[in-house]
Amino acid sequence: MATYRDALELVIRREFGVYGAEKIIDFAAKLGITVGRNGNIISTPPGKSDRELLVEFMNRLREEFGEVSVISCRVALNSFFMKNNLENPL
Amino acid sequence: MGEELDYSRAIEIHDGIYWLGWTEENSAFRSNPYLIDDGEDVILIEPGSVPHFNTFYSKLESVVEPERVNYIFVSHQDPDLCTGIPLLEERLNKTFTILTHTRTTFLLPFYGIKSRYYAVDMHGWKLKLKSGRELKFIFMPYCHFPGMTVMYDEKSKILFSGDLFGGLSYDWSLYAGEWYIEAMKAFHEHYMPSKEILRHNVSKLEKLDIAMIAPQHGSIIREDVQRYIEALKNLECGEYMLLGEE
Repeated sequence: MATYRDALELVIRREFGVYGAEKIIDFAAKLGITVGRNGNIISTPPGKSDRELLVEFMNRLREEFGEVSVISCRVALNSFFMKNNLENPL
Repeated sequence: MGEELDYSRAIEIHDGIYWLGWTEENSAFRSNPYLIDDGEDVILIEPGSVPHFNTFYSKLESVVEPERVNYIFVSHQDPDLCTGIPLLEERLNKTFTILTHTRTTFLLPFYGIKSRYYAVDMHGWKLKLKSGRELKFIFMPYCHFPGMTVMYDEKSKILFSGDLFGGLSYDWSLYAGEWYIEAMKAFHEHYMPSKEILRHNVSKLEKLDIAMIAPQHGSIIREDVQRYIEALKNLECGEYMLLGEE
């Protein structure tokens, strides 16, 4: 069953393609998220749900990288939420 | 992969075929003009726009005498790939034969282009060069323009794919890297109208023996071509995916 963590990994991999893996791994680390070279999440900070982390990740991404970062994964996220019957928290 | 390339120069991507593009650190949306030097015929592919004309021209004259260019191929009429054509006509004081779809010929004159047209759909979707080399044209309607057409060079087995297989990326390299497929999806999800249309068109490429895909945005695909074709065939795309956001 698909989860918000899968959605967050989808965003991370997409941004690897748009901004480069190193930049996104460093960016995720600032939010307390450890990301592997293949785009998988290794660990997340305690006390936050994956859904909260996804929302925070997208908001901070927009602040740090601008609109292109959001546009580049918007359709993919919408599609993911629809397909998996998950509420879109964004 | 991993080789050092000097992007300030024209780069030969295959025998007699050159990349004449440019890089800009702060742009996710670069353009890739190419050139085929076939001796008696010289074909420019998607020659680019007004702001980059001088960069493009200096690379062009570094690989051929520009006066030798006689054909220009454009996949569609977006300004980033063809508004430099009138500047080239003026600089060389000559016109060219523009290879494109009839629907595109209706729009190109609005840029002030004076060259004549060879509407590929009226000529059996092919052009035989003086050397005997054959260029094939494949119709890709609505991806993203109704007259969208890509060009396949039988000799090099390179597909000049226009916007198809293009990418949106600040992390650009001439040849597609590990994560290029994600950059490609980021571009197509918004630009292509629907999964059905994209799938139908991209499936036409499976009949071709493709060694390399050279899009006019993004990076050149020279390995695992089939993986990228599959990715586009299965991509959920189109603005309708955003329904409910407004």
